[in-house]
Amino acid sequence: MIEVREVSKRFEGRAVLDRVSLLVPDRKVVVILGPSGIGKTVLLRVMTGLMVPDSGEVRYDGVTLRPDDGSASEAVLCRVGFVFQSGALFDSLTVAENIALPLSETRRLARAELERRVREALALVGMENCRDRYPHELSGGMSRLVAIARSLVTDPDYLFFDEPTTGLDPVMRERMTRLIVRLRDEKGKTGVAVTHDLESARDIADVVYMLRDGRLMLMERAGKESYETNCA
Amino acid sequence: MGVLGVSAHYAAFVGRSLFTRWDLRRTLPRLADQVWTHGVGALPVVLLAAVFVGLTTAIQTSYQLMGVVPKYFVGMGVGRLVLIELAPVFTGFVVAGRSASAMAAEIGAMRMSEQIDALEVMGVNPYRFLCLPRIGALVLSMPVLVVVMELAAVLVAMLISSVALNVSSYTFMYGVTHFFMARDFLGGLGKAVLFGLVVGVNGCFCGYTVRGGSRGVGRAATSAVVSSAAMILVLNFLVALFFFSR
Repeated sequence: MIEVREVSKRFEGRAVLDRVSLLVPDRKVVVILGPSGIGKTVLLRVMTGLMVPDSGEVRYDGVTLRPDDGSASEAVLCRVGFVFQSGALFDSLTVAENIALPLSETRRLARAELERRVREALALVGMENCRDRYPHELSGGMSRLVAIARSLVTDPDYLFFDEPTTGLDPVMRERMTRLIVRLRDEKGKTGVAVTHDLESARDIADVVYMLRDGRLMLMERAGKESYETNCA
Repeated sequence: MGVLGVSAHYAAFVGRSLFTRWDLRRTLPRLADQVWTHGVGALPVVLLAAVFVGLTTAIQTSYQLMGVVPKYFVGMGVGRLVLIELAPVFTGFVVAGRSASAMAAEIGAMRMSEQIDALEVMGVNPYRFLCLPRIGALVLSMPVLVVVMELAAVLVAMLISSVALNVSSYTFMYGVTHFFMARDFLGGLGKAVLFGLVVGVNGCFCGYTVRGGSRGVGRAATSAVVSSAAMILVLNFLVALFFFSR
């Protein structure tokens, strides 16, 4: 379970996050909605230790994440995968090398085991045929699928998605939402996604929050097609 | 951020890049790759610079000394000038122009496209992954490049002296070797190591701290070259002051 407690973050005097609290239950997908530039990615970066909050804390199963030091935080981050909006793949590496990177750089595995895990990750996202391609040979959606495979190769418990469906064509968008749901249902992953795509939020979310004026508002499902906020 | 803030940031960056766990098993292949790119790759332009350094120094030294002192002083002048000053400083400038900008642009683009963030989330130390091999490559390559420039420049100076300046090769080399001091040679190599360190650190630092999109990457590349050149000049003066002044 991830707990975000009273997290605040200001940029040049503007409160992007204002005492934000959030609970992410295990094996659920939480979606944070909001227009572009509102601070959704900031919240995601704070939750994964990429950004230090001005105040407040983030806890993973009771262990506080301290980005700057501490083996406890390293242990926490070993259980985290992050899928960036751009994919953030390394241009000079092939798809297979990109996926192998987190393992080859942080663990000592036999070559055969490394190869097996890369193959499995590629199969999970349906990109087996692209293993020898370079990132510039992939479409945006394919890059994001490879990025998901890279985040899955270490078998993390928590997956963070930054705008997972933004800019994708309808077919790829459908493929992406199905994959996220499958990762939760079949692999037991806990997911946090930020998006401004209401439709994809409907498809993947167990719980939806809206970020507005630095505050998070819980939205409840009021039928299949719409959400209502339960607090102003 | 003021000068003090930037200095503290710079010092912290150097500390994180160089005093991290080196993990040689993983770092060595990347180091070799960077030596190939920034060391071996710089050879053609270093050799080109060496040719003109040798030509110009021989002509200028001859112009200053001929008729005043024996001819072998041309070899002495060229040899000591090249060893102490020209080879380290020219090589430093060449490498700064070539590698500092490339490093700043490459790492800056990686910062912009969230690749450095991706490394952090994956638990990979970005300083060890990106900066240590690049800085290490320049520290290792610079002395070799300086020696190459020294040899090439002296050889070219000897040729032009014998062909056009009426100083035989024997006389020229007598001047070079008779007045050769190991201190000059080692001082030049010491400078090369320092300059390599400065160029590598500046290139990586400017890229790592880039802000503001593609324009920011351009600014970072420019800053990397300008700051490297300025620091080479300052360090060159300090080395002259502390090691070569009597």
